[in-house]
Amino acid sequence: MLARIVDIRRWLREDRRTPYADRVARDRAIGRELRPAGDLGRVLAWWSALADAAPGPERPTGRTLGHRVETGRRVAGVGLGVLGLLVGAAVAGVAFGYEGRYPVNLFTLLGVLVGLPTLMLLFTLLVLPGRLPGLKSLQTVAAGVSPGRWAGAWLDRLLGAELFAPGLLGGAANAFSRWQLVVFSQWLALGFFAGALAIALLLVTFTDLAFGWSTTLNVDAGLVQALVSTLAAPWASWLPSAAPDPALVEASRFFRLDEAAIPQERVARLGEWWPFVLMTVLVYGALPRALLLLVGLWRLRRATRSLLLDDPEVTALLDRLDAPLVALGGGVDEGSGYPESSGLPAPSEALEAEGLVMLVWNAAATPAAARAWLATTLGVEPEASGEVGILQGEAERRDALVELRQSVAGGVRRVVVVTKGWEPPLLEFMDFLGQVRETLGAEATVTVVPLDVAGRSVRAAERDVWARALSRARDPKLYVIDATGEAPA
Amino acid sequence: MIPTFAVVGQPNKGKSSIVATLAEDERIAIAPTPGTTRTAHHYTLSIDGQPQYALVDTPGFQRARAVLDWLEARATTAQERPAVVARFVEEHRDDPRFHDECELLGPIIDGAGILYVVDGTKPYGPEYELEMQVLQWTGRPRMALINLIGDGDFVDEWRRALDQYFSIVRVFDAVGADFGTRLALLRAFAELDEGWRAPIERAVDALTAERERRARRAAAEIADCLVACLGMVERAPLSDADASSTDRRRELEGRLLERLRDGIRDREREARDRVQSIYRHQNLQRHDVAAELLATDIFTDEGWELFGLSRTELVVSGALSGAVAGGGIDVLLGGASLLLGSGIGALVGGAGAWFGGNELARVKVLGQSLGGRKLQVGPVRAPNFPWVMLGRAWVHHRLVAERNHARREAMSLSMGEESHLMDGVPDRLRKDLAGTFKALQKDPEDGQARRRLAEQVETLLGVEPAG
Ligand SMILES: Nc1nc2c(ncn2[C@@H]2O[C@H](COP(=O)(O)OP(=O)(O)OP(=O)(O)O)[C@@H](O)[C@H]2O)c(=O)[nH]1
Ligand SMILES: [Mg+2]
Repeated sequence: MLARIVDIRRWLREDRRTPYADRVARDRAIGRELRPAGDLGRVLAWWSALADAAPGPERPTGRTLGHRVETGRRVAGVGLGVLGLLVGAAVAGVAFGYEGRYPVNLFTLLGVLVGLPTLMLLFTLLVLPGRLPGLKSLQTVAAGVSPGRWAGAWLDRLLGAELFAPGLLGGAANAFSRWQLVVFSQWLALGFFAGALAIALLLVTFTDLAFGWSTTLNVDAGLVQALVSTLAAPWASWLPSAAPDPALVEASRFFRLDEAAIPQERVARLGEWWPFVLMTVLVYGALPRALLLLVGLWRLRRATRSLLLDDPEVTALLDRLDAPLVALGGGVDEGSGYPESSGLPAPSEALEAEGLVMLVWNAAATPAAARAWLATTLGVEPEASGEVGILQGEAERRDALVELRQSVAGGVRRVVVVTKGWEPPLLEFMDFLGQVRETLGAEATVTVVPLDVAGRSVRAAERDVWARALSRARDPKLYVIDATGEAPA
Repeated sequence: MIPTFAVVGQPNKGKSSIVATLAEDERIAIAPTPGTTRTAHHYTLSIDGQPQYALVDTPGFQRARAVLDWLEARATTAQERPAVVARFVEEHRDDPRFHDECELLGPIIDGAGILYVVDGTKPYGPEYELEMQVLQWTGRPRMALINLIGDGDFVDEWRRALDQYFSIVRVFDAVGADFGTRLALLRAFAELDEGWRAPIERAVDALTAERERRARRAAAEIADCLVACLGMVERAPLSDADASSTDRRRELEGRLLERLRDGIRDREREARDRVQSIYRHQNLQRHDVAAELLATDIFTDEGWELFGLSRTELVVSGALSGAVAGGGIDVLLGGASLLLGSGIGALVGGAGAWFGGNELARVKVLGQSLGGRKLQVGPVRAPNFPWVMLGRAWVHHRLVAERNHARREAMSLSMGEESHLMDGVPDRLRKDLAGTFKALQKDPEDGQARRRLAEQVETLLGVEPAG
């Protein structure tokens, strides 16, 4: 599971570059097909349903980071176990060392085989609860000496995965690395005890061991007896041979200065300590480690799940899987079909009154206002003028134009068409310009004058719209008045 | 057939803007030049692939008079009119003169409702009645929308005219409309036809839920960015030469500082892009100014490490393993000198770690050195740093979330006095945020604090920024 979780997390991180809309569509398409299951199940099912062709980063194949992490973790676990085994064997070999002169001192033996490992165990436990106020430096030390942390740091370095070491003393998000550290340490410890016990058994079987106890302090045998029977209490009832009796305790005291050593009849019994020693190592050394390993594995499993489910990217993914996809359609990139030409020019010469006809289109202005504009802005007075508009029928309009033409004695030379500058130039207006050209003569110049709502010349931007729209007519004598309303000098 | 709404009217009245707003589409062509839209485009809202309603953006009327003339010449009774309109479209499909009219009438004779758009800031003219009549001839349910493009106010005269032809007349500012206004307009669409109510309601519900989801996603993105910026550090190996010369050390520090600033700026930019893409504003341009970061606000530290362990940790662990080994020697010696052996072992182990560490740190495994002297710049410790970052993100989110897809100009994020951005935050939320920031500045990996931050940011996004 870890392999997939590592891969999913990494993939989702890269997936952040995929456009949001694509991610939503992709994941909801998968999410709709998923059978109802827990969050973890749905994420894993999503992962296997994710098609290679779907938008997003490439899916990792072959030996993915996840696989390497999983293998690395296994190798580290086994390696630590083997290391523990060797150390345990070596330490036990030394600790049980007995050259026949003095018996093996039980205090030293159990101190090395049970005492020191228990100290290490306490250190491990110190790392577990996360940050403890006031104990920070102690926790740092505890974490620093943890072989689990060393292994984790090595793995991270080798794999380039920030997984096992970061923020060791940090909050809940680091549960995974903490429990992994615990598990690593327990493999080492169990290896240690396995090695030690194996060596002990070997030595018990093939050599004659003698145990005794010795201390500088003024301790009487009763105290030691109490200690021993307390230690042996858990198994005394069903394994009496591993629970030394007071006589044995009494008989096992030795002093190194005592040249006479231990009398022969007592020596015969000194070997009887071994079941007690083995049981003590097993019960007080190995058993807590085994229990802690079980708890560690269980919590590590949970932490691995939360590694996935607490990831904000995964929360977002679950949201995408479950939320109905609201598509709004569209996505067509539509270029403008509008002519980009610079548009029609302004008239090249000043308008003159001779043969000038003014047309007001669609009641863009009252005829009086239009005349006033012509007089003030261009300084001309049209010879004839008329109102035309789209509300008239085509024939009606033609009649009006013909009538105007006839009213200009010298022939129409110039036409000014006043229009609503705020309205878009429609094709029906272009049709009308065609009609003007047809009716009033091919030689006349036609100048379109778009006015604004207040009857003034329109601004340059609106003039530009008209100029560009009317350029579609391809009429060389068609103009749009300059924005200032003035013809160039 | 799902409810379909053809958005029609003269060119340049904001038809495409209305569709862009409702369909949240920033790619629909909108331009001040009339005739921008050349063909009809459908924008279908669907929930999980189930279409609920469609909007059709169309080109504008160009020759309404000619169309009406054609129609009037062919129908005598009112009941014939829709069929005649259909015939008009059929017969003029390939006539370039009526290209735009066919595009806009096509969806209507296929059953779409009509949304007729005018510009209420320009005067009404009787020539508009020609197209209103054409629309009336189709016999389809219709509604008029008075869009507000410029500064004038002719809404009343428009209303009087539109009331003659449309059962519902509404003012709708295409570019200014916020989310609530959009939903209200959608609901109004449903009034055009009894059968349209259910799908429109579904769509409104889905859009509302989607909106909440977006806020949640945006909050998560913002929180992520904050956490990343709060914990951001830049480190580089510090060679012996660098360490011994103040100038070189300062130069390295300056480089790292620059890198840290860049890193924070890039991360912020990335989060902005993400938030925009959540709100379908991928291409929205921003004029953004990076947050000011003073060198004095930033924590600088020189340290040493091996396998990620600091020197102290290394020495302690060296001493302890020495002690364990010493204990072994004690045993070997018959247990006579337990403390002495352990003590010597601890001393030797600790000293070995202290002196040997440097050598070991230079060793490279798989191209990576195991450790050595390091210079670290960051994280930013200034107490107002998270507030400024959050305030900026908050303002940006508000602009993006309320941003209308018909608006095309770049968004400006100049934010005046940055330290006052958070003035509008309710006290309670401010206190909560302060607590979370503190936790995160202490430990950026604190998962619970991260989650809390995302929730608090979500609450914050629901609050209106001051000013
Ligand atoms: N200020 C403001 N401008 C608007 C509004 N609606 C549209 N505009 C502007 O008016 C112009 C025309 O808008 P479009 O949406 O392209 O109009 P259209 O009706 O689709 O035009 P065509 O496609 O040419 O038929 C654009 O420059 C818009 O930015 C509005 O509500 N307020
Ligand atoms: Mg358009």
